[in-house]
Amino acid sequence: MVRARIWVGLLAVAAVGQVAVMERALITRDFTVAFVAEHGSHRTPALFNVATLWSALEGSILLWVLILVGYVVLVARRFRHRLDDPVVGWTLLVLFAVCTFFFLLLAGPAHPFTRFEPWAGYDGPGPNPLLQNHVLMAFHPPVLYLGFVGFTVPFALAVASLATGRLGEGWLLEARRWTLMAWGCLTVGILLGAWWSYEVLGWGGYWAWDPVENASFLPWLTGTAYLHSVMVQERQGMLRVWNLSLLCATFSLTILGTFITRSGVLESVHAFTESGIGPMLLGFFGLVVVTTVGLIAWRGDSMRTVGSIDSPVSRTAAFLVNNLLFGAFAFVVLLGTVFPLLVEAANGDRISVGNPYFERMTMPIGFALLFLMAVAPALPWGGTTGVTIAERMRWPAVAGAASMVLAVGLGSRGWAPTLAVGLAGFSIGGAVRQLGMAVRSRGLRGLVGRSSGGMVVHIGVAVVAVAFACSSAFVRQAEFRFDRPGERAVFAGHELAFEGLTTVELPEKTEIRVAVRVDGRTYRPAISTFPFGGQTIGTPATRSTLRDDLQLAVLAVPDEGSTTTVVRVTVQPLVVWLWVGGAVMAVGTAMAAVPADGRRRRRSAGQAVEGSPEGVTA
Amino acid sequence: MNPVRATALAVGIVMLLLIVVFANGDTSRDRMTTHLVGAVAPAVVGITLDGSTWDLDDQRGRWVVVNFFSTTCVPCIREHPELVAFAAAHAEADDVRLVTVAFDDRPSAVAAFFAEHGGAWPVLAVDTGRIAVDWGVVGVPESYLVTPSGHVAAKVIGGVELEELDDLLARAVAAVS
Amino acid sequence: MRFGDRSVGFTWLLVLAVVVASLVGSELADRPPLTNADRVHDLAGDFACPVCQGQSLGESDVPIARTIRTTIRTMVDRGRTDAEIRSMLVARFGEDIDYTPRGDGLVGLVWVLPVLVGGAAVAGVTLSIRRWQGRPTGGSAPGRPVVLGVVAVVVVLAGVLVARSAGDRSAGDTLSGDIRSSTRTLLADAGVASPDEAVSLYSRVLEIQPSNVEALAYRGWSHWRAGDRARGRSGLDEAVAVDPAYPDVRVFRASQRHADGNHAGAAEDLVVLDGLEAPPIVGDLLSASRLRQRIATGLASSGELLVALELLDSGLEARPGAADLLAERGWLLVATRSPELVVRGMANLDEALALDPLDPYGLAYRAVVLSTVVGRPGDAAADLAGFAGLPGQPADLVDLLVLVGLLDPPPEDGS
Repeated sequence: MVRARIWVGLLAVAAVGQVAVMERALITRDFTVAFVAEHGSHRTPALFNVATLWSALEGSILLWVLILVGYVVLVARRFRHRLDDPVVGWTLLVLFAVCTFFFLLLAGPAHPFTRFEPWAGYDGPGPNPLLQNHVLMAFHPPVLYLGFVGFTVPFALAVASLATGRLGEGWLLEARRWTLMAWGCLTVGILLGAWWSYEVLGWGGYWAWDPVENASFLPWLTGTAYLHSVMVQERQGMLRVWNLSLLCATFSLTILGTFITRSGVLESVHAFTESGIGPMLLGFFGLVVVTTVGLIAWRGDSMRTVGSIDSPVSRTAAFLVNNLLFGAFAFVVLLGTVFPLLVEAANGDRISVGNPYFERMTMPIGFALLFLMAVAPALPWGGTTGVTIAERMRWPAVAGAASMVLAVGLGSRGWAPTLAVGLAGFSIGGAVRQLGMAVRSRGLRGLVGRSSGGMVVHIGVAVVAVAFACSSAFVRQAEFRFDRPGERAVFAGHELAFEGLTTVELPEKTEIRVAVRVDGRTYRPAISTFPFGGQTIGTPATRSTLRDDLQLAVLAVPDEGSTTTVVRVTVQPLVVWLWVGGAVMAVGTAMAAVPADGRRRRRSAGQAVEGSPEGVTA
Repeated sequence: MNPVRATALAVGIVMLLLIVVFANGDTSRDRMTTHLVGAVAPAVVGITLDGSTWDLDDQRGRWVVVNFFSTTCVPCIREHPELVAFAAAHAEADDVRLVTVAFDDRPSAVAAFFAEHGGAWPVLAVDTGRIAVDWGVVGVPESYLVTPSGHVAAKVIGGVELEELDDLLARAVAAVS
Repeated sequence: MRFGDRSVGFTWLLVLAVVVASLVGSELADRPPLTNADRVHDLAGDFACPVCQGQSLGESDVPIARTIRTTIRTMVDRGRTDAEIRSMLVARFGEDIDYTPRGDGLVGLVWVLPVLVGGAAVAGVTLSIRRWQGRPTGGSAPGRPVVLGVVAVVVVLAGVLVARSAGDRSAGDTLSGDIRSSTRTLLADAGVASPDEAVSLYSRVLEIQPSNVEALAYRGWSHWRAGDRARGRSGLDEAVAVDPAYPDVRVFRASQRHADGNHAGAAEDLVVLDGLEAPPIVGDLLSASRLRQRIATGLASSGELLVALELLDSGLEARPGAADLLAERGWLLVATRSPELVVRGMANLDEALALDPLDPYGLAYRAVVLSTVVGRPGDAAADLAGFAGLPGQPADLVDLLVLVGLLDPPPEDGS
């Protein structure tokens, strides 16, 4: 319909226009705009000026709207031939409604274009120094938003489906495709955020179960559950209500996450300053919950189909268990994040729930997921016997056992990291087995396509799991005090030598660099003082090898009280593999997006799809 | 009711309860309130700016105001004249004594500040970290009123004023006797 | 087929054996943190920085975080356990400094709820799968109730176990820190407790630290006040023996000796006290109870005027502006009736009243002296008027004035 196109066009002009205007103001340091006056500065380097847009609240909403409207344009384009289909109509309607909300935010509490009267010679404070420290700042939020915002589209499709009571032609395919793209971006965005924390904060930590980190993780969990569970719907028409619910939950969690990040209700090192958008976001979250719960309660039962399987040892059952595990994971993370608020509301006590709780509670779920990741791809849809599966998983099991022996040999201590390595080896073995069978039956083309791409993603996840388990379990940290150049220290198998200090004056900051020679190469962690506000920020230096990471952070430099330089050294094994695993996941996602050759689209259940080598039950 | 509807409604109700909790969430919380009021005052021992030793336990029998301070904190600088007035007002009766514990500050800066702005009461500035931890002080300024028997009668977060301090003292004295 | 089966079984058995061996081996190889620094690092990661938003004690670089880390390091170096360090931090900063929520009470729900919900979900999934398989989940066979029952029992047990293992320590543990901090609290609390409670608190202090002179002295004094004279005497003597320079016990023993009639000994104690730096409470106690003056009077009446004067002079040296001591000195001198001493005594009285015109003892004594000894009843009347105008008139002075005839006896029914 023409009208739909006009509206979409108007939206696009508005969204792009406002971002362009703000960016121009930032780049030209136009301090008559209050946002620029509060966050821009002549001293900020050029790249960071552009990134300043999303370093503060109003600008981040501008970015959100830009990406959301971008998605709307893509949807309108994709469905341009089917604009009179009610499902498409409802989808666009929901998307427009979400856009309306965000534009309302911009018009009201998060207004970015308020006036300011700068006096002669005024220079702004620049973005928060922590956000100027690293180039990843420029990339992490946009990629993260591509993921977050991307989930709006499958949500709109889900609501459309519930409203019309139809799972129309190609609906399934569309929803899955959009979810995959958003999910891929979110995965990369989360890992970029972890990498940035690691590089900037100087404590060797990359994941702290912080409320904002959890807020970005929750939709990832439900999104992953959906990506798996939708295969059951595709294959056998089952779990429809599950899938619709998962899509609605994913979007709701993105709104909840945005609320947590921006309302100040839960404290976090990532939090934006509080503002008036909290109540509006909470209200919108309530609206979304009521709408989706209402729709599912009304329509859900009529959309159910009851399938059948022959045995609980089947992929269908495995995916149901998968949903359960991811649901439990999300429940634990959500409960831990909001529990302090609940307790305070109940009896006024203030407590904290942090790393020890999350680690302990998510560990068994993680192990179960790794195990399932290994076994499920080898399970046929309808069911099989335990003996058959034991035979299929024989060599992956050997791979798992071998990796455990390797781990113990390399010095693994404690049952948890060793078990994690074993299960990861098991998963990788299972994934390689699937890939091998795909290549054997279809040659190299067997490597692309959904199931093979998925196997590669599984390998990435297993690598990340190993890296996570080992780097947390075997981290070592110590502080060293150096007085004179030439002093040496030995720590965790590395040799350190203090070489001296240099002071560098830059327009935006004064930097003191501490030269430390580690195993033959010199690294220069620094500590910077920003003149405005007198903040001191450290810039750690990291030496990464495939085996371990050594991070240096400056804690103290000589001043009138002392002549000692204090450097904190953190040694963690296998950190690099976190980012490698993440890259493998991204590659696998891309591979999964490429359509495999010879795939036949089937709308009805019960037929082999995607050329998966595992046929139906014998 | 079919299971789908029941589950959906259950989830919806839980989420709505969560929203209610969030809506009442307090965004302006002062961190880490102390549990000291009413308890025995933790030790305050140290070397004053002029080199002598000062111990809170030696002041038994007098009310004491323990003030945590830093030269880099603006409210501390603003409350300083009030403390000077307070010390002067009570100097003759000697019914309440004042001590300042400088927190994370350079002793030379603290000494210079007191030299310039006045204040002849004991000031502890060296190795005061342990005192801060013992008292659970996380930010300055904070002031505590200690009874003659060595218990904490009151805590003030933020800068104090002369009237406020006198009022606090009067009420505490009335409460004890 | 058979052969394949057996080799599969064999492989799995081998895998199982290797897995178990690896797990056992890695558990045996596990060791506690290598260095104290590692232990501090682990601990610091488990606690929140009190001022920063969302950072742990280890991550944060603000001064208070560094101070707390130093405190933790000191405690670790002294061999304190993790539980003691936790208790210390929670007692100082509140429960929200600990990232691990408690296992009991409302907070324990955070551990139990996931297990309960997980159990319910497992039950739901099991029932679903059974339904898919086409097995009737209704009344036939034990079926549903048994499944649900078993799951419920397992889940509740698991929840309890998880909650127990979560909070191994209870909040509010008493600090087993160094001796000074524990005795200090007991002593301060004893200071405001009833005499019986005080005695038991002081005894507890002495159990921890037998040589604590404050506890010895105050316990002796509590015994004395309660009427147990023998214990009181021995306690105070013991305290003096342990630390002759402890001020508080000198006051107590002076009072005890005075009550026993040993004025010389009491004077000795007070003279020693004057040479010590005493806390304000001691000075307050002395002047409120007029102990010195009473001892001086006792000494003078037993003929030891010089010792009495020495006692008063020693007090005056310590507190030059003490009008009450001057007044007493003057009174004692005048009481000798020897002319030069009377003159000196009058001079003292004048000095005392110059220092404090409202001192009741000064006024009363001078009134008496002026009217009976010196013979200036007019000036005496002025002093009497001053005395009568005072809000509170010590009873012994009123009696003295009545005895001398300067005041009418107060009405019987005390109006």
